[in-house]
Amino acid sequence: MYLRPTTLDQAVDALEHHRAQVLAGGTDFYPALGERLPSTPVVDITAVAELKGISVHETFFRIGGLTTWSELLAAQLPPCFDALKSAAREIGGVQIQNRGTVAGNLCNASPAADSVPPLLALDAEVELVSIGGRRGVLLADFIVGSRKTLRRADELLTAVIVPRVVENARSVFLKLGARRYLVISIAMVAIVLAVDEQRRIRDIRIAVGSCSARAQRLRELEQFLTGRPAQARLDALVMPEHVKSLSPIDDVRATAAYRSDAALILVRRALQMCAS
Amino acid sequence: MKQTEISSERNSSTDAQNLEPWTNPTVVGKPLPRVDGYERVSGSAIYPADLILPDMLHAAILRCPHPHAIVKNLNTEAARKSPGVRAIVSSADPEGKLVIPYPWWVPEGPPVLLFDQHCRYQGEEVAALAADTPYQAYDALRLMKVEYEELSHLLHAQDALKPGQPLLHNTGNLVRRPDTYQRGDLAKGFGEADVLVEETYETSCEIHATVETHVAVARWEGEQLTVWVPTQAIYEEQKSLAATLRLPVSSVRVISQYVGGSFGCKAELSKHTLIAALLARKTRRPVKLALSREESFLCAGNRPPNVMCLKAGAKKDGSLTALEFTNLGAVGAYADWADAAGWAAGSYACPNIRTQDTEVYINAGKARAFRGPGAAQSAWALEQMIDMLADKIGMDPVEFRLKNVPATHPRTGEPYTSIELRECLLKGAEAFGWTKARVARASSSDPVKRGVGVASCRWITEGGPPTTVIVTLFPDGSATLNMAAADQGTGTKTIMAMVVAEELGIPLQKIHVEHADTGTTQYGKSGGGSHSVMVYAPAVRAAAADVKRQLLEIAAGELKRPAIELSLKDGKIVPVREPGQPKNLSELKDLTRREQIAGIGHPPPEPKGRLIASFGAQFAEVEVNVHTGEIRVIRLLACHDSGRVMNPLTHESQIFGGMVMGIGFALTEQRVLDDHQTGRMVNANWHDYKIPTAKDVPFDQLCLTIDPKDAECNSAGAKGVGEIGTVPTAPAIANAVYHATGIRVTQAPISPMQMLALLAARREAR
Amino acid sequence: MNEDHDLKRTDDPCSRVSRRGFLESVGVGMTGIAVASNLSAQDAEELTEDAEPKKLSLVINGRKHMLIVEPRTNLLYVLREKLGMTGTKPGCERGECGACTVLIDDKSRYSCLTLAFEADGHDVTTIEGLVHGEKLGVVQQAFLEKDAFQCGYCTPGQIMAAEGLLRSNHDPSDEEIREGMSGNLCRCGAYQHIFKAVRRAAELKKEEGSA
Repeated sequence: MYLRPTTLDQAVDALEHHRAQVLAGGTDFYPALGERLPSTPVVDITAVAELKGISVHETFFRIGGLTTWSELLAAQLPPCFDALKSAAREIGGVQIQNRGTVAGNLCNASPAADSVPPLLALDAEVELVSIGGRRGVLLADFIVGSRKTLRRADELLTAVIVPRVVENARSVFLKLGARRYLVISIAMVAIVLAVDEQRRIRDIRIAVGSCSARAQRLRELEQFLTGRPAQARLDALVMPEHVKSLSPIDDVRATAAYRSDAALILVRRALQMCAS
Repeated sequence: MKQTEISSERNSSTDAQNLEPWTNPTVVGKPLPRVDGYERVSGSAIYPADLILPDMLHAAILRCPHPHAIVKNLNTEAARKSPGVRAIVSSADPEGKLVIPYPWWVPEGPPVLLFDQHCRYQGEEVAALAADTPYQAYDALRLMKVEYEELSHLLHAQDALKPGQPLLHNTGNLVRRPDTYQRGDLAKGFGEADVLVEETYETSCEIHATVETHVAVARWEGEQLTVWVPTQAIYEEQKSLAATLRLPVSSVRVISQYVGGSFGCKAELSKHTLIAALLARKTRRPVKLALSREESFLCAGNRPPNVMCLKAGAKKDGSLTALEFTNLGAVGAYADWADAAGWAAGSYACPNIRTQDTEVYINAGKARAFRGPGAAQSAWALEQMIDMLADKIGMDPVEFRLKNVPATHPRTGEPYTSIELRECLLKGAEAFGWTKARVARASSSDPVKRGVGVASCRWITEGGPPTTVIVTLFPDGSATLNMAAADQGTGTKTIMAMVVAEELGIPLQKIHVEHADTGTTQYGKSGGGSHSVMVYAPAVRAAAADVKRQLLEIAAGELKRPAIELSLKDGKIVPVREPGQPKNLSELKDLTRREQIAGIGHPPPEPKGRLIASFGAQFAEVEVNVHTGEIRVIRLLACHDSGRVMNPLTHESQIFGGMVMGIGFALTEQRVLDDHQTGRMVNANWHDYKIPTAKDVPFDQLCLTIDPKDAECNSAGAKGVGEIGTVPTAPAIANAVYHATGIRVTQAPISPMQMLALLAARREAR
Repeated sequence: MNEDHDLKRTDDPCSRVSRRGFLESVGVGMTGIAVASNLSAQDAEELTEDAEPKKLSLVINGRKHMLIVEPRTNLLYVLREKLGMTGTKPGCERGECGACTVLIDDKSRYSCLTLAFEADGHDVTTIEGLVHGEKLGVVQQAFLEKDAFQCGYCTPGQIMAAEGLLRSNHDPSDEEIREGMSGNLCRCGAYQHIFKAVRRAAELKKEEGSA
């Protein structure tokens, strides 16, 4: 069964009636197949135009679920999106950037998904649509574990909503891998940092990926840093206990111990870049 | 592959085909684009994977998912009924017991059954089938039901000879009696040394990972089998197929006109080729069998992992006094080579040496020759060891190497036809700005440390017979070159066409190369061991010279002049005394009547009492981030003596390509087997098995050459270049990492993780 | 023979070395662009279920093709197996190597990660489409001149990636070239010459444009 709806209504209708896989960018879909053709029903949403594009609203940005990483990179966005853009560049070669979608990266919910830390740092919310209606879920809640999300089988992730709170904040994304490119990260960090008139930290969000079953914010560190002057040696304030909440694992790419060290180093480095 | 020290017989009679190397060539030595470049860049080159034959079926192989297991029961009934399935072959068939011969360079080993019920590596072939489409074939495979009895597995060479370990073969886990070489008096040598160093080095299993996976297309016409398979060695595959299928050699035709990368892994008969032939025979339809990327990671060859223990001594003046080199290598589940130590015995002038190579079986895919087999692993250890010695006596590593450049081959005492290792080191160091770069170390506060390193290399090449090449010339001045050589990307076709053009004075565009087809070309050595140019250039030259001789004889008859007074220039006959009156070939009536002239050429025997080897030195500059362990190669320079450079463009491609592979070997490439539980390879894909990408390669890459004007090696004056370029790169990088950080990384690859752990260990030790 | 083989069990029908099998042993998941969870939950019995072939029209290199294909086949398969356009190469079939790169509406894409049906209504350009009659396209010409390949197998993909890069960026910097070519692996390690070729192609394109 292969369905190719052209409207959102058709798409959610199809999902309502079939236990189907959603095909968006396909960058996860095809590798999963191996040498076979797909066998479960497939709802190919690539022709649903209303899921594409980025729009600016009074209180939020809306990134359509089908927006590709190339499209995101080409969009005019304020500095708080710099981290997300850096992540988009790291997501794969140009061909993957031209193909992979925001919704796909989030729904796949890999612990190593590049876009998750920057979006977590933006306090993003995802919009889920089913035949029964529309609901919004905080991204931090949406991804519940490694490859597990709150998306029901009848729902589509239609958009990512980013509140316009820290628009002009600086943001940085850093990723560590063994090779320069086509890297699945060993550890990654996204930071969004806003300062007040006295150059004190007004609002700071720090998210770490690849170092736990799902990417997470370092809330304690955020609180610890809030209100402090955004000065040159900000990195020196970050201590190993600040990344204790992470629970990295050993795998083919790195050991847990290395991941913890790397996370700490990346947080320090990213902070330094944001503050300077 | 085993290093063979050469002692070839030379025919002392003055062979008519023994020509002196060109002194002033007009085509050879020019940076000309490839003769098959159009096909390769336009997408019109047909690789075996591209072949679509009428009525062709697609095959797929069922493979054992365990590293060590017994097939207790195999049920293929459901698969047989699956849509599109036309034939199945498994251990239940008599063909399942067929034994695949080892290639000639592996003299013996336990029998390799096509479908062995005792599976000794993950991915071992259990059954295969052919269906109308590839997808049908893969779907049907999944309907095969197999009952495995899992056996405990052996993954590391270090465990192989311990008691209580699983035995892979009846003969035990030892591949062959350890190979030992000794000269001088080791104890005396160590006694004479002012400094001694001891260290254990390890290299990881590296996968060839050619972008084209292994593939075979087989077709029968009566009892005649044609196989299209990417291979460096059409005659090796022909011979093995004929022996396995008990066919006359002439009934098997192997064609390999385009090879999508090999580096040694496509040079012997693989099971999938035989399977394609068997399924094609069963169905009487052509069959294509292409391995998936994952299959090619598991069972299409690798560079074996080595554990190398070294002890070396030197005097304060930099002269090596003694070297002990013990290597343990894991060949995988069947016999191959995993040697490394023996190579070191021929590298530097050192009077007292003992080397030992021990090879064992493990439950993993079998090794195959891999670009500089043995030499690359050996260099990883030895070239770092040399640096340690230099460091210990406070001598510059380049100077230390210069001190120990051998005058003759240290193992046999035979002189080389040419050796410019000294010049390679000197010229390379100068161009690299070595002395200055050596001094300038990064400031202490910056977490990014810079360092530079050097390593040198040597590769022995063997040319010579048997090989037959035919060049035919047509009256319109066009020519066909007919030779067995494959061109896996090395540029062999181009270089040989250039030799014809040089010899016959006809433009490259008028030369057609017919090659790598046992049905239409004559026997020729395989394209391996970096010897293609050494074997084929003299043969092609001899064939072209034969054509020229016949042509001038014809012209002499027609022009009523002695042949000696005629020459061939720009495709025309030019009387030496009247150069203004050239004659077109088409004007020669006898030539037109004969329709064509065919010249035959063979490579003359190797020079007697002389060894032929290529040499080189490479220099690397790296940046190491001591906070994250990340390493970047920012500059590479190679200076090589490969004899005459036949084509600077393809020569540079070979060296650059070798260096890129060396970056991977040094920093990222590693087969990872699951130690804890399953014993399976956990990174059989290109995301987790990391070969260098465009981003890992420094912009600053330079290739310099030194031409020794070697008149002895062969009539082209050229030595091998295919493999040597990758040999010194990894140790040069490791030496640069040491220079940058003061940390000697003995295990390849130098992952950021390992780097960081070593940095942390040093901090703790202080 | 070793006696330690108490792990006797019957494997599932998917006993062939499967990606799924690996996944279990890797932890975080083996593909960065990784596996959707519901797929790995499916039963082997479902695997042979076939979907009905459907009509499809594709515009490839300016030529329209009417095809009847199973809707779930990818563009790479259709190009090679249905249309015999074998210049586009398979290398991994999972978006890792770039050998199958084509342009869709001037953007470089992995054809192994693209459904044939998705390309309906878009312009597909393959390596064959860069050749004008007998004459090579400028990127192809530059690759030939600079010896920007060795075995040539990844080359069509490299050329298409370069073409895609130069269509969106007429004058790429060295770093942009590297970035633009980073989705294509070359095991022969021809990257240095590829960089040169892309620079040369940019020049040739400029000359062509001004002529």
